[in-house]
Amino acid sequence: MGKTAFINDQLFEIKDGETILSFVRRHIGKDIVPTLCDAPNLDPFGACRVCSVDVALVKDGPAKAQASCHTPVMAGSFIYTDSERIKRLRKNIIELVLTDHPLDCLTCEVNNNCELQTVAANVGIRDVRYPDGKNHLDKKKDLSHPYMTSDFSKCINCGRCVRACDEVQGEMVLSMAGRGFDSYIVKSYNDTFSESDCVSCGACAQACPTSAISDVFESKSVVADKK
Amino acid sequence: MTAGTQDELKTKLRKKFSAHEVGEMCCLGRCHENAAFHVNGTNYSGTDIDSIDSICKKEYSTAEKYNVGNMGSPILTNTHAPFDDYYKIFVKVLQTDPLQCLAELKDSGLRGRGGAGFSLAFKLESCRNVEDDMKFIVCNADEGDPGAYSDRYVMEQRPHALLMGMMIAGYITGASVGVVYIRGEYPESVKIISDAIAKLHAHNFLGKNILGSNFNFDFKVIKAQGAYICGEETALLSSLEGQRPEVRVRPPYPTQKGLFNKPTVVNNVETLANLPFIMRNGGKAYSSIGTPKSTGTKLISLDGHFNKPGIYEADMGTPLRVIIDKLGGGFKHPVKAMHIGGPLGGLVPVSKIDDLTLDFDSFAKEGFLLGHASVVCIPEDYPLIDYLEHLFRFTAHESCGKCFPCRLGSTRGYEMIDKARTSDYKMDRELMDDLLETLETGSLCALGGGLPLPVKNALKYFDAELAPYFKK
Repeated sequence: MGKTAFINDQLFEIKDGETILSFVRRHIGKDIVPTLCDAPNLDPFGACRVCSVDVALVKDGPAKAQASCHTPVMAGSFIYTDSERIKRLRKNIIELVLTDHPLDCLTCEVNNNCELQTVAANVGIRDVRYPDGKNHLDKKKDLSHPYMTSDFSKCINCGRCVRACDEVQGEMVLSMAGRGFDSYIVKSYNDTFSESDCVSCGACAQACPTSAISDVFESKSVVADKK
Repeated sequence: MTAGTQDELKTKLRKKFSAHEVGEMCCLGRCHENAAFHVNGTNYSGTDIDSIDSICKKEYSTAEKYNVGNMGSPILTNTHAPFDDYYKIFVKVLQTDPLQCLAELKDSGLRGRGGAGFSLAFKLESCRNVEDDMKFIVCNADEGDPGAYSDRYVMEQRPHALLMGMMIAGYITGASVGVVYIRGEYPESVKIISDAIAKLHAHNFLGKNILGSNFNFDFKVIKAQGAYICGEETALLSSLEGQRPEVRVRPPYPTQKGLFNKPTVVNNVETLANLPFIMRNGGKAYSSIGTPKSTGTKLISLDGHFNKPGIYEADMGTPLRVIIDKLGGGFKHPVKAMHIGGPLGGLVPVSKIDDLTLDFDSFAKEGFLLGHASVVCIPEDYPLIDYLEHLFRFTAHESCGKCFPCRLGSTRGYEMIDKARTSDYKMDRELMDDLLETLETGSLCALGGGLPLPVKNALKYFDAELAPYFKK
């Protein structure tokens, strides 16, 4: 065996240069570590942090939470995918996400085919404890374009659409504007889809983990919507 | 404008300017006398406002004065040799093997002064070991920590210590461009550094084959546009590239792929300004000052709540009590805590002063952070809940918006505290603890990751004062 590391105290072989996430997925399964901002065809981004795992240098030693999507596996390290602390961290992050999400899953286009919904179910959210605050729930839908639609009240700011537009298509039509809580996705110079330089490739809709950007003819709905 | 003096200042400014002409700016580095304001590219503070008529006629320059003092073995605040003599250090460096210079630096044990305390020699060596025809030395002069103005002092009073430090770092790593990233709120620093660079050109210390050697080096000064997050090294690099200042994932580290994907060393002003001393006197002379793990001296910024506010330099390991009493002349009025090391540093209650010495390890051991060693005092009568609200608001405002914990958590924390402060809403302690843990373990960079430290200090040491805002 070449270089190795432990996952939940079991020894596995490392491929050169791989991230903790790919190491874990390759050996013990795809659904062990949840992700939101990660996508297989995009560079690691490290925004959502729900892929965090505990990494220790010795068995049961002091561990550091690290985002598995962009951290390379260190030979000999001990990776714990589901420590109590990590489970709490994921749940608390998703709770924060849900403070700014419509929670209208039953009538949502991507009901039952939504990454946020799946991750929220897996981390076991039962309650949002924060008092009401600022949110983006009143964002208007953009139905201006024949192929692409957006509903940024559903956006979780994972940046996957921005990166798909750049890394997959090289179009760079989508970008992130604003700062902090007020960050938001813009099309070209804050235009609608139809006014923007969008080439209708659909890469952003495919990358979107929710229904914030969708494709009119390739809906992610479980039963195709009539258009 | 400095927070506490804003209202009065605004009233006075409004007599001269209309409402839409008076805006807000971030910290101008005048923490020693407050009442700071900025008119058409120039900073003013203290009693300058009383001369607003002359300021508008451009007949007035600031009366700003702050104390500068030291104890022990000062390196940065003592008198430096005149230009020609001072640069003999650099002439000597050019005749020395860069590996020898690196060895001296390793001996010195110099750790970064920007907050993280990372070994400078390690960083330079890692950059040196990457083969590339283009490398950068970036000086992070985006001194945004409220309470800190020591980098401003170095740039304005000791510009050549910084510039020569960057040239030496360039010589060691093989970098040919030095970028000084200075915050736009420091127009005087920008001018002084630019003038100092012009002087270096006039003396042929910059350009190709400097003084007949095979070393090429030149500078570029960048005026930053006022976001605190740009002090985070990867956001700073994005900003330099003209991109949105979003924090990047590491690895790759800047020494591998930094500015324009080229090997880059990013260091704080004070760190780099120590290099000329180390090159002249040797690494051992430097490490003989301070403690074994925190070598050398540290600049300290004392704010207007001290009897003698100013910039002081003391050996690492100096008792905090000595700095407060001997250098700062004690507190002007009763103080209950000091926020040391910027907004993400620890909140030190006065009862802990005697347990602390000025070094990385003592602060870490006691659950605080030396950081930039800026000291902001919290007066006895200032409500801590207001201070916590301010910390969360600051983080929410300055968050880049990339990672979920910081983007959402700082705003939710602010809203929760503000609601408890202004209504009969009581916070849930478990929720607050969950939020702090999420920020601390989940955030991508030290902004979200660092905010919990002072908040936890406050909850620990001022439990009784904060208890009424929580559910029983």
